[in-house]
Amino acid sequence: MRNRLKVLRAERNWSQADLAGRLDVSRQSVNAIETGKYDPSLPLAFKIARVFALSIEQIFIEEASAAQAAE
Amino acid sequence: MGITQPPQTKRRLILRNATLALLGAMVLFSAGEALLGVSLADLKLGLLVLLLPLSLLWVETLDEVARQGHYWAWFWGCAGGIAGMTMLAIMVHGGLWHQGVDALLTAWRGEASAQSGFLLGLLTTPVLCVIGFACFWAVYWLRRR
Repeated sequence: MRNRLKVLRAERNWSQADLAGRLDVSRQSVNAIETGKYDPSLPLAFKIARVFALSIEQIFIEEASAAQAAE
Repeated sequence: MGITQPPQTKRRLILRNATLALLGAMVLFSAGEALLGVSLADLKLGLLVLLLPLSLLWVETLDEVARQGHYWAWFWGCAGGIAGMTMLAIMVHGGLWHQGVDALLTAWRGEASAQSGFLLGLLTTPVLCVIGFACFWAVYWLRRR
């Protein structure tokens, strides 16, 4: 699963720690999600979407969809 | 841009620090036993009774990435620990390491009695599981830095 967390964070000038505080998770957890090393659960994905005021699909991109879009 | 810590994060830190303090006290009591030659088993048992509910409350405050790390590290760490314990049991039962065990028991308890052997057996599995957990926990976070 790919995601746009880093870009969205940069647009808002938030550090990983800022986002972690908003999501009530650790900074390491934000890093793991951002780098694609951990796929968040649905409740956390909804929370992330709420923090950025976007839909889940606008933040998380399935690998297959990303590959299709690239073709 | 900074924001204040959410209540769950504060609670997590308080519970983690309290858990670590109790674990530290446990280590101190064990060191005290060894240094002073007295038994503090009652105090250590009391600490354990406090530690169990405290650690349960702490785990409840962990976020899902950390919790997944605990599940993963306990599963593979304990699997490794039990595999190691089984290999040791086969070695000792097969007579491959009798002298080593006797020397270890004598150095630790002053005698290679059945009671000392039983105690060593009781302690070896959890110790190996905790060592395995620590190794896999480190791997989990190193891969997600």
